[in-house]
Amino acid sequence: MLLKRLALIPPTLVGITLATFLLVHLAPGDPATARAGNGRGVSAESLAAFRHAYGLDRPLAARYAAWLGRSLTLDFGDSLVDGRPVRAKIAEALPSTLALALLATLFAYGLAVPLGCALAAGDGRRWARAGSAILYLGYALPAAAAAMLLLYAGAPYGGRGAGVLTAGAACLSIAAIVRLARYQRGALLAALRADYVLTARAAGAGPARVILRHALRNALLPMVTLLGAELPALLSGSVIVEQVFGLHGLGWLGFEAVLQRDYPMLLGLATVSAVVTLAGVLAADAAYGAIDPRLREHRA
Amino acid sequence: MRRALVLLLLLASCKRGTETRAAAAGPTIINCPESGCAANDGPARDGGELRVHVEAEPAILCDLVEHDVWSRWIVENQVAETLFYQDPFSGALAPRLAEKFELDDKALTLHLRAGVRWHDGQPFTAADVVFTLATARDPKVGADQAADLAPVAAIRAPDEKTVVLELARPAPFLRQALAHISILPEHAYRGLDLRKAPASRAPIGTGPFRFAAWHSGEELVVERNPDYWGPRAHLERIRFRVVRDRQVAYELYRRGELDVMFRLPAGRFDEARTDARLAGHRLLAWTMRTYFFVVWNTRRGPLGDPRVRRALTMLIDRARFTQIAFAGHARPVTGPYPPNTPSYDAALHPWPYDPDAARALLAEAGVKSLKLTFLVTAGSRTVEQLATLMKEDLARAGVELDVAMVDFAVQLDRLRHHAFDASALQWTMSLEQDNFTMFHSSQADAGQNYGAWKNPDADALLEKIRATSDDDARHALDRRFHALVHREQPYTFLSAPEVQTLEAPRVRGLRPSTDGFNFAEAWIAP
Amino acid sequence: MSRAARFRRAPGARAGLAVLIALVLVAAFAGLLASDLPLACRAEGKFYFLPCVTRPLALAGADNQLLRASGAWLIAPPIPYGPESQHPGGVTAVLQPPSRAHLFGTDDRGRDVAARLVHGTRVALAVGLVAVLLYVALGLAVGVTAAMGRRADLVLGRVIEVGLTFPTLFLLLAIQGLTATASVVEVGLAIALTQWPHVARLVRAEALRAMASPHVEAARAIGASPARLGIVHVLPLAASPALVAGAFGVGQAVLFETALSFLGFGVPAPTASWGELLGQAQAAGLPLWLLLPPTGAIALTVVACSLVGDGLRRALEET
Repeated sequence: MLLKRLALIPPTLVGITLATFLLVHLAPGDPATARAGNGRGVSAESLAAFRHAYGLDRPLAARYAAWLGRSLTLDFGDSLVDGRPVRAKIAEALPSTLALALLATLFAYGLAVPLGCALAAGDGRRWARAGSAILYLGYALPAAAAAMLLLYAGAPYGGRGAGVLTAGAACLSIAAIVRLARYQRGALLAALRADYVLTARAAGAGPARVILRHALRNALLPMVTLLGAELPALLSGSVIVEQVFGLHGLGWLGFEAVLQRDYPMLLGLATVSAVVTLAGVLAADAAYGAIDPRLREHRA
Repeated sequence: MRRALVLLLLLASCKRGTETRAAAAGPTIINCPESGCAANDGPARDGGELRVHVEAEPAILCDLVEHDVWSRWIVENQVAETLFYQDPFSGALAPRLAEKFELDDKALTLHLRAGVRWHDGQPFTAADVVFTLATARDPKVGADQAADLAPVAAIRAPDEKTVVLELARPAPFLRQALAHISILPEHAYRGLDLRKAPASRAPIGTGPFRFAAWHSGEELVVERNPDYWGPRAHLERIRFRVVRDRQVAYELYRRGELDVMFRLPAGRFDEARTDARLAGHRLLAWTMRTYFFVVWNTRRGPLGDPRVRRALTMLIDRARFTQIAFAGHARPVTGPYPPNTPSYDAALHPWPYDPDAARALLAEAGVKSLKLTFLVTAGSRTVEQLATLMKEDLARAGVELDVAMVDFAVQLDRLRHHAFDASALQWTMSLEQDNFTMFHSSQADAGQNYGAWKNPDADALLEKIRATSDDDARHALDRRFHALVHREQPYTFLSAPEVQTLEAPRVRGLRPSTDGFNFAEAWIAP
Repeated sequence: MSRAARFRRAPGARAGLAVLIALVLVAAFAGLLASDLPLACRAEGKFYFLPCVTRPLALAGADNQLLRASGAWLIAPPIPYGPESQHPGGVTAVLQPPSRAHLFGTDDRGRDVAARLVHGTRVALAVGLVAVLLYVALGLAVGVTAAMGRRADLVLGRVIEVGLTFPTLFLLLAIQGLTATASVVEVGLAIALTQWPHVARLVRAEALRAMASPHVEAARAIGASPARLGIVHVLPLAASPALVAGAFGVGQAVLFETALSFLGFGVPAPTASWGELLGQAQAAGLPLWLLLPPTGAIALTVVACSLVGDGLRRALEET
């Protein structure tokens, strides 16, 4: 099953890169003029020289084919902005983004699971309802406002220290925490109503034991697959957080690349983030399959 | 989680200070005259590290490829040097790498300084100057300075310490141009692409500071050059910290993580004035040599008629725009020259805000209704504010203004191809300003004449200005050009914004100017 | 228990629905709630009814404050300022905190914040509606089609996966860059193009389940054509996750528009939007009085949508 999924990854990657390539070329604004800016030295020759140096004067299909060939060796070409290899620039930015995403995921699950359980356990009580309402509000707070507030409250800026990564991850994870907590609560409640739990309770097992042993395990499983859905959101939502906390990550790199029409960088980024996401989804599915053997055959 | 956020909100509201304070504690406000702020006196102390805020990370540290302001701050005058040094306030040109010179209408002969070494130990020779200037003139490189070197016909180096620039015609702006071209080491670029050479990531120069490190996306560091040929710099190290968002940078400055902030964010001035945390800091208020303007595309129907453009200018409440966008901290300008120079005709006053006269003018020009699209750069708050104000102002005379928000690459594209009706831009001027590329009709396609303005009198004046070496005669011609532009309104001139620079108490001897800072003179008090 | 009854029993669903209806009303009647011209007035002998909507030429250049000062009789709207009037009554007061004259203060161009908040409802709901309609339709179409046949599933399944892993922000920015002028429709379109794969995935799972149900098997046995099978039989069974996603989606779209505004790519000036107000708050150093109104409005919308979405989910799921 896993092998089949693995085999389907290359076409997905080709799809993503092709879509990015076409999208970026349809956008108006040409990188040669974007680099030249308002400068007075812009001449037909300098624009032509720039275009030729980066192969921008070749037909689209040839360029995509050439790029595809090189990308197999992870050679994504040179950035149009400063001529440095795209691979190097991504390598510089990847650690921050991965650290952010990892920390954010840890926060999200670390807080969401107990929170969801607590809310499920107290279902119907006043404090649980209030807690639910507060969760909704957290979801609605725009990331930009949360990030700026944290900064004004004294969060550190810049670098790769634990402090700034924690602050950034905290902002990123807010929405995820809320979504996951609510999902966990719903899943746990549904699991608690299930037949085998009723049987266990009828046999005299105490409520806490019931929750912990039987319902939780079954409720946790779907949470694992949600990881796949959260990753792209985390990777792209980090632009605002990176800007406010001065982190040098993929989000900001991508934003600048779009503004400057830096085609090689955009293609490289699309590939890398797609690979990371797909790997995450695959890992989550594998974990799901490992935990619950019944589901291994059902993978379609 | 939400409770923590509520606490944070309360904390934030206390910090933001909506309460008024009785005693105005806060920074010392110094209004700098045109001649520049007084340098701090006191004996200079050696050593120390300065942390400076830069708003964007430069892409390439090579003056000929990236002429943007941030790479100039870091490289020009600090790491690399130019042939002449131009005082940013008086405009006077002093010798630097060129110790002596002879200038006539046929040639400029430069005698280079002896005993100068590059940071990697190699000697500085005429070959470096020839290489730099030849590369600057190369149309394939597309250097910003190429236009300034147009009068140069040929470059020769008769010996190791002499360079001769043969002129095709008189070149009144040439020495000023040479004061802004950083000389590159020929041996570091030989046979390499300018963009990709290692020296464009780690520049090698002859200046008082040596390039030390570049932490991508975070900061660039330069260190004092102990073998500098001139007076040693006082500062041991300068860290240029990249903080893209100005609000965030201001917060970092208040926390003490930055020593110098070139530009206080617009609209925070009143708050900064009474901020107790900034007691002992210096707030220097000065005007930059830039001007903000609306460019009209003269190829679009009625916009080709100067009466229509004058009417549009009179419809825009420029004083209110200054009040809203710059909190009143901007000086109205009427023409494309620095206001405190003899090129600027101070007797000219801005066209009055007079909607009735404007309506009459429009009627006279036969314009009953007009619909214009205004290009706004996404993310530029000032231009957005201008657009909303203009929309309201112009509606009073039946002119409909549509706002199109586009990103920078698209805006540039449309400006170059004249696919717009109106847009707003800002030009930075030299002390001796040459307006050829912006206003001459030949520059509509290749140059910066985005409005495609075509006026034979203007063309003649601009050509004559370029050919006049005598300063006084040329300034008189500049004033005539100023008057012409004021009459014809190819641009609606708005204002020259004031800049508020913040310096921490420990910083001394630093003077801000349109060209940046004079870090070689700065020092840190203990 | 009927679906409607299940909806009513869901906690907060009724309250959420009420809030949403209120928001729709505010958006519909924004012109009457906040305007620079009165609801009715008598000036220079003539009587005007709802000049705030009809905007007669005779009153051009006048506003509530000027009319009142000149002694004319008028009934002013609850918020006597328009969202775009930059100097009501001839006064430009920039970035003023709340006062008696302005309930929520003024923004960086002297416009009344409360008026902009009210009119911003239009943009918020419009963006949400455009986005949701587009992506629910697209998600349903692709999801049902994918479930109908193996080959279709192979291809469309990949397309959905590509869509799911595509970096959202790039897509949003690229679309914004592509379109000549950004507007409510384009922002909605951009959001729709990034969200449809999620809906398609859920719909596909539901549709696959529906295909195996006896109801559909029977229809197939009778010989219904694939099109009829898909539209008449499978679609209604598979639609519930799409509807639920749609309900949540309106709130999500508002949050997206806010993020786009922060980066400078939201609905352009001078249209009033909550994201734009938030951007102004950020540029002014986050003063509470400018930060809370748009945050509150966004929170209210998102919470209401979430409650309704939850209610819909409970109503539609057959346990």
